[in-house]
Amino acid sequence: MGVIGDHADAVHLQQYITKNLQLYKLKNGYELDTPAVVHFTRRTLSDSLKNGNPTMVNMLLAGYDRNTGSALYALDFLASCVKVPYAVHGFGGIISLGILDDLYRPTLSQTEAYEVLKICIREIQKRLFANLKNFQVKIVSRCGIKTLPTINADTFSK
Amino acid sequence: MARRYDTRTTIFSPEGRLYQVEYAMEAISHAGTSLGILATDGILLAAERRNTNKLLDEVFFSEKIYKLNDDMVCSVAGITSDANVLTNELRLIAQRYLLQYGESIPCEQLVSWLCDVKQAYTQYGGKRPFGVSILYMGWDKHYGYQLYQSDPSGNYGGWKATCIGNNSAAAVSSLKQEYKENETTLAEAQALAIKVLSKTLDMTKLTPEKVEMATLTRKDNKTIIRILTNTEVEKLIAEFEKTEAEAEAAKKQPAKS
Repeated sequence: MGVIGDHADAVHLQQYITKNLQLYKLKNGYELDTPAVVHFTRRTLSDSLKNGNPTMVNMLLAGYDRNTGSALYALDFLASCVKVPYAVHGFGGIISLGILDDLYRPTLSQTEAYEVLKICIREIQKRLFANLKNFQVKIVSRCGIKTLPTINADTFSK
Repeated sequence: MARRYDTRTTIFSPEGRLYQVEYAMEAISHAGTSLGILATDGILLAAERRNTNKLLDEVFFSEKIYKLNDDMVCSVAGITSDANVLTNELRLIAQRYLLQYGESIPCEQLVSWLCDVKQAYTQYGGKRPFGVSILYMGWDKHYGYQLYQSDPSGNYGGWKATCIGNNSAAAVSSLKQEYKENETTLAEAQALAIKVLSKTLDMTKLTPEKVEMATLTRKDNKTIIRILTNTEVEKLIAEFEKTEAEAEAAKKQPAKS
């Protein structure tokens, strides 16, 4: 789960979701699969919105299920939710979206996808009015969740 | 002596028993039988229909078998009005889960949730427990076909074959002998259900009006819930009577020679 926006809301939401998922696993002996997690998260955002206490965050949720493979969902602070092959949030995202539109293929390998990310980030660091130095990269697959090398200015100077 | 401790549900007797809960189970043992059998390719619930008065207007298709959601069905034994409240609650619980997670509630979670509600009535509130035992049959992606039974105390268990209501003890011991785990198909289970029901029904002959049967199977990734028609039940009863007659004839043969 990658969350941006209001910091307090982001932390609170992220902890709320993960702790509820752990509780579910302890209570029932099995985990919720990705579509159910997304549904639950969207519902949480929606309920807070409708009760006059909106959770001001945009997020990307990635999950891997053994029977259906990997999936990416984009949610936002208005509790909209869509399953997508690639997604962006934020100003840096707007810059990157064209690159992703151009370079994305459903057959990208992990290393190729990392390279596409690098191209996006190089553009962000060149063109965005804000200085975003470090980008954390994680990958979700059947091997679990792994952290890939951080992308920052050094990545491009090598 | 015991009488002093059973007017309030929420207290123990000196011997450590909850009398109201036990009395509730006693009420159920006088109610119409319900039995469930887990087969390799599906599950079935069969129930004795007691309201066979010809003057009854047929409002509901089924007297004792209720659909809870797309993947689960239950059958009840006990006080019908209590059963209505509980089945309504079960449907609400299932829909609340669907609303929150976007998928069907796993069977055990539904049973467990309702049993927590039932248990509350044995501990606080001062209200009497529900006089209903429930048999649940359902399918979920975690454990496949499942059969559960719950009672007024709020206890529940998973079963391969079980029975509640009138003469249930006799039925369970009969099932214990005849049921073959991992080898009983749905068709064999249907025949077995008719056989056991004919024993539990007080002396009267089995007719299609007295029996309700429902099956749950999976096809093409969808759950199919069917309540058997009168004709299908009649056919099963006819086959049962045929096998019984043959068995009787076979018994008489050695005596002759």
